[in-house]
Amino acid sequence: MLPMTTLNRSESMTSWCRQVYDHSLTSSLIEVGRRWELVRALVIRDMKVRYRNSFLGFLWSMVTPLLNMVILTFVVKFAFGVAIPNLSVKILCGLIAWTFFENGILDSCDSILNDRDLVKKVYFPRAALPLAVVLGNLIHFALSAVVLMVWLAVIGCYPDMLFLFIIPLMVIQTLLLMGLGMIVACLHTFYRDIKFVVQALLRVIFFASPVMYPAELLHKKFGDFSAVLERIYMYNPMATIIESYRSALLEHQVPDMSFLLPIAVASVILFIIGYRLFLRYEWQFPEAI
Amino acid sequence: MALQDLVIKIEDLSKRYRLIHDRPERLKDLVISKLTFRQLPSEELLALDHVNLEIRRGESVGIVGPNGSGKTTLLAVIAKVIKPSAGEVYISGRVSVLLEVGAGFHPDLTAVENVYLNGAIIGLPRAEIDQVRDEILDFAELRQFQDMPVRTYSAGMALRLGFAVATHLKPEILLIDEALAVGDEYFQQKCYKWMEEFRRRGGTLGLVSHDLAAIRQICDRSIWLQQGQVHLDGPTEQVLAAYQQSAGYQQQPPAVAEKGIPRNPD
Repeated sequence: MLPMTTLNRSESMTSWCRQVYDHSLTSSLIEVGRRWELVRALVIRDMKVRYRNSFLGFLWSMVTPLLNMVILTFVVKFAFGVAIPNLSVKILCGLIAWTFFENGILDSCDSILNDRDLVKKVYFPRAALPLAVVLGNLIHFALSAVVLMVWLAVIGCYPDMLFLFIIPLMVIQTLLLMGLGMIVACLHTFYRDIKFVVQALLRVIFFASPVMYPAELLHKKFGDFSAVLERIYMYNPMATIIESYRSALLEHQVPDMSFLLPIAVASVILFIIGYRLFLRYEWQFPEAI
Repeated sequence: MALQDLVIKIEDLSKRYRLIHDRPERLKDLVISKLTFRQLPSEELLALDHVNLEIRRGESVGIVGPNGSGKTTLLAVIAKVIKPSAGEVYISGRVSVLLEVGAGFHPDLTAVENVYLNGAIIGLPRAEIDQVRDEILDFAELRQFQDMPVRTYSAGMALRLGFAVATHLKPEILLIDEALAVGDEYFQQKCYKWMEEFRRRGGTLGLVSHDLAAIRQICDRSIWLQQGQVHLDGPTEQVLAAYQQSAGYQQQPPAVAEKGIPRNPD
C-alpha cells in the first residue's frame, strides 16, 4: 500500500496515481510480457475454435503442406518439366515457411476487427491481438516443421547440428511478421479493403520468392547481371529466409550471412516501426470499429 | 480534507468525438477524397464536458442520466478503453470497470473454457482461476452445464457466468455499467447482495443504471449526468427525485378511461 501519511500535498498523491494513456514501445512490451497469460489464452482460444468442429483437428497443419507440396511438385516437375534433385522436399521447406508468412499477415489484418467487443469494452494491451495471431501461426509452423523433419528422415537426408539454425530463423521471421502484422492490422481497422490489397501483394511476393522453385534456378538465367540481380532478389526477406532454411536443413551449409544479417536487422527495424505505428493509432480503434 | 480517502479523482475531463460524415472506410474512398480535395463535413460531439468528480473510499455512487449523457463514456475513460481529449484521471487502488460482463466469451467454447478466457482477459492469474473455478460456477449456478458450449446458453445464463468471474477479481474499486439488465429478479438480488457485502468489506462501488430502484437500494450518493456534464451530485434520494421529475415521471399514473376512450376533463 502507498504510504499515504507521508503524502501531504495533493500534487504528490495525484502524481503517483495519474492514469496514463499513451505507452512507449518499451512500456508496452513490458506490459504484454506481464500479461503473457492473456496472449496464451488468446492463442489457445484461436486454436480451439479453429479445430473444434473440424474432422482432423490440428492435424490439418500437417496435412495441408503435404498436399500442397504434392501439387506443386507435380506442376513444376511434370507440367513445367524442370528437373531439380530433391525438388519435393525443397518445395515443402519453402512452402511451410511461406504459409507461416502468408497466414501470419492475413490473419493479422482482421485481428482487431475480430475482437471488436473486447477492444470496445475491456482494457488490455491491444498489441496482444496481432501478437497472439502471429504466435498461433508460429505454432502451426512448428507442427508443419515436424512433418518436414519426418519427410527428411524418410528420404534419408538427416539434418545435422545445423538444423538448430531453424531457431534464429524462426525468431527473425516472427519479428518480421509481428512488425508487418501490426501495420496491416492498423491499416485494415481503418480502411476495410486493405486486406484485398494485401492478398494481391502476397500473390506477387509468392512468385518473387523461391517457394515453387529454388533460387539456384535464377543463377543460371541471369548471366552477367547475376550478382546485382541476386542481391535485389534477396532483398525480399522471404527469399532470404526460405533459402536460409534450405541451406541449413537440406544442404547442411551455414546460410549466406551477407544476405541473412541485413534481413535480420531489417526485421528488427520493421518490428519497431510497426509496433510504434500501432501504439500511435490504437486509441482510435474503439471509435473506428 | 482527507486526501487519503480519495480513490478516484477526475479533473476537468472532456471527451470530444469528431463525427465525420462519409468518412472514407475504403481505400478507394480515401484515394478519391484526397484527389478531389473534398472537405469532409464533420461535427463535433462533446461526450464529456469538463467533468469534475471525486469519489472517496467506501462510497457507493450511482450514476444516472438519459441515454447519450456520457455515462458509458465516463466509465470507458476510467477503464482506459478510450483516451480523454482533455483533463486528468487519478486513481488510487485496484479498479475494475465492467462495461460488459462476460467480455470475450466465445460461443463455441464451454463455460469452463470461457471462465479461463474471460479471467485472462480481465487479468486474473490462471493459478487463481484454478482455485476459484468451482466457486465461480457455483455462484453462477451453472455447474451442471459447465461443459456445454456457451452458444447453448440463454442471455441470462451467460450474464451469470460473466458476473461470477468478475466477482472474483477482488478489486478495491468496482464500476459497473448497466451490465445487469438481462438477469432475472433472483439473480439481480443475488448480485445486489454481493455488492452490499463488497461495500461492507470496504470496497468502493460505482453503479451506472437505469434501474432507479436498484440505485436507491445500493447507493448513498448519486450523480446525474446530462449531456456530458455533471448536472447534480448528492444524496441519492435528492438526486433521483430531481432526475425523475425532470424525466416527466409522475407519482400517480394519469387518469385513464375504460376501453381507452379519453374521458372529458372534469
